[in-house]
Amino acid sequence: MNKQTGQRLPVDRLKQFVIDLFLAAGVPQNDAITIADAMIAQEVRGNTTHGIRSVDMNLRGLVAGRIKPKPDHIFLSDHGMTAVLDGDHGVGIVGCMKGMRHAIKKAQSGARAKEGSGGGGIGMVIVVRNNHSLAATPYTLEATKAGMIGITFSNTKGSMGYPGTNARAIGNTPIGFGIPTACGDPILYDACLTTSGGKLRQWIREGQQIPVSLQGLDPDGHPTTDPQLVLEGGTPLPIGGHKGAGLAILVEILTGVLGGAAFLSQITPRGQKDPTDKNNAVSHCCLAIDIKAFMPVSQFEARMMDFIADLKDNPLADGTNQIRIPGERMAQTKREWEANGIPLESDVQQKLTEWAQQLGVIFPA
Amino acid sequence: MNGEIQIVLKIRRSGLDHLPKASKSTQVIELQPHGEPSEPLATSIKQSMFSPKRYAQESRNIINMVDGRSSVHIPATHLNRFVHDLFVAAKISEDDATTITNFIITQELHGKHTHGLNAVSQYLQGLATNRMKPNPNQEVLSDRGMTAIIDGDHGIGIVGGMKGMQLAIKKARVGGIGMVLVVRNNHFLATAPYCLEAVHAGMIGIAFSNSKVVMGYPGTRKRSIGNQPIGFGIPTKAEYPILFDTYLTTSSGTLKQWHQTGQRIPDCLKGLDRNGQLTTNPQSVLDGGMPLPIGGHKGAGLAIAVEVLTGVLGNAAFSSQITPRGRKDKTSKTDAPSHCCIAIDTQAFMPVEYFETRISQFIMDLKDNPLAEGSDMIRLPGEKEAQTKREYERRGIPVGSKVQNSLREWGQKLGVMCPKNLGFGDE
Repeated sequence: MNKQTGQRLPVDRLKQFVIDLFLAAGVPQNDAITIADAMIAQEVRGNTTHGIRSVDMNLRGLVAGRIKPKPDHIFLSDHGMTAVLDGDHGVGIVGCMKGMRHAIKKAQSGARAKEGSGGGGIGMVIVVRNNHSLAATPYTLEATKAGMIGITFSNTKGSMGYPGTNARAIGNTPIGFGIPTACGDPILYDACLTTSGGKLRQWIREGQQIPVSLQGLDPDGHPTTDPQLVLEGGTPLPIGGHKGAGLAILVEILTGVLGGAAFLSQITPRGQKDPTDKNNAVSHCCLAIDIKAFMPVSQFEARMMDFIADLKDNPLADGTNQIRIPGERMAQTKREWEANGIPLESDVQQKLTEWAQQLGVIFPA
Repeated sequence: MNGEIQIVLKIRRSGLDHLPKASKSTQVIELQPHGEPSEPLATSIKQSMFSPKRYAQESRNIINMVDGRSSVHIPATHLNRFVHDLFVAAKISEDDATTITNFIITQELHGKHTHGLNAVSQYLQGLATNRMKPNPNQEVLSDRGMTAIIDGDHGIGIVGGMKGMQLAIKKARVGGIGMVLVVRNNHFLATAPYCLEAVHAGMIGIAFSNSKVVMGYPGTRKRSIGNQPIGFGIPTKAEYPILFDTYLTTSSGTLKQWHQTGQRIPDCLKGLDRNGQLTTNPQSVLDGGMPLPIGGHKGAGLAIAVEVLTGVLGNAAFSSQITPRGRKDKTSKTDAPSHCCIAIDTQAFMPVEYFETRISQFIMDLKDNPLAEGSDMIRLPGEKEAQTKREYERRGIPVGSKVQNSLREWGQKLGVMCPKNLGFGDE
């Protein structure tokens, strides 16, 4: 984490401030709430590299006309338990959340099963021509709140190597899932199939080396654990070499290729997007699996506790004080920050203050 | 050893003079059709765009595959008939025997000898000792919308797994996507043939399975989660479907192979030795150490998703509840691995033709990147398998002496005649 100001903001006030900023930038009320909810959901879990920090990126896009405040989110196809939603270059969060909600509706079993509008037990919605969706967690969380397992993944501009080339040939493939449990804290997994640029920058700031299992290539194509060399002219490598590369292919195909949208080199780097171009933004795939189609949710959640206990029951390695489940640390941070306020990083606070002035919104601090 | 298509494998030193850069000390195998002038495998391998370096490695793999001495090339159709008859003799129904045999032969044709014919003996042993049921009662335990759970009922893993994928395909025809869990099943061998089943139906197939705990997890030095075989298949217009089949770590089969061929583990797949230190020595990982998930916590997280979408959601065994193979109690409700089969009908999104054209563009885009030094091509998963298949369909499937012996023994035990043209038949 970057340097903090020491000041903590209550969650509600920060959320209202984010809503106000996006309203001022021309985004409709409901969408502004969706955006603020997603960013706060990330921020309170300590995922600060993909939280409130993204306000700046999105407002810049809106002001410059690269991101549409009122996109035309139409369904390009809608067959059975699948659909393709046009993100239409709006704020990425809004399109992706609509996609997940539609997938949830399709997956819903039970009463809806007879209406023909859902009841599939599984729903799959691809959101195309969308902007950066922030992270997987806000969407997978949405599924867990509906008693479902949520899975999302995205393609991205080429940012990762592929066996046989040193070029950044394929996206770094952000992928995440959420699974409800009986303890109230869902399992939340959110990762790229390589080290992200954000993580490399963090390691540089902290003077850390890349773990060997995640080492990348330097600009000359040699393996390195120096994050600086990978970031500047080098290439991050997929986890497990050809194994992660294969999984990245699946993600590209289930997003850009199957969605009828851009893939691989067709995806332009952020900032260069032409809002009128039909075919140059990222795509996401949202999957929702209704647990009720398999067993009562309470039974599943109890089984999840058994599963977690089974994993944690293993002997600790030297120098380790616990075996963690994805989402566990996030839940701890959330409890702490909801009680005591969210600590803002100084550079984020600076940017937010500037935006407040520019858009005529009052900064709550 | 007899038969007109028999090919004798010879190990010799050097012989790579016509291939630049190859080490002269590299051991290679030359395949000689019996009684005919030899046509070195090298030629055809070179034609199929292997690099000399890779050729040397392939050769080492072949040495391993045929366990060092004599191997025969047997036409796939002959092997198919023989293996089918073995399973029928072991009281498996005609249909199921066909499913099992086609699966195993597909694996062999793809060069997946570690998960192919060597399973025949394993299965026949399991049937003979009543650990596996020849006629399992494979009920559909739940069937809602586009999802279902099938009870594998401790039959041969392939039979249950294939039923799962076939039901998923049927559901995807209706809903665009189908997801079927197969629980209480035995080892399903590999993912590729299930995914191929979907590809043949014009669909995207995805299959994964939990397994007994064999892989590490961050924070512990104990094998605490399965290695989670996972794969997918994508229909293409190219000469091969994209076909991916892997584990979220190095499998013990691969580690054994690397150990036998003197290779080190690549850095990105390092495991732990018995003292908990990172190592690239495959033997150290096998011998009291453990393989680690790809990308550390990243692969570990994916392994959790697999475990939840198979054992946990299927109301069956997960993690430490899954007992090692061979110790299964047939009557136990919850001690076998479970699989998840997903089929996605591309037609729900766009016409198949259009999808396949887009896949061709995708393949071209990926291959269009500059080659790294020392690489001769950028490969898609499934590409090498298709090359191997063409090669083996022409020359027959190489069968090592160990597998030959075990097949011959089972043939004798079950009273199945090995036809003479199999090359290792009753004489």
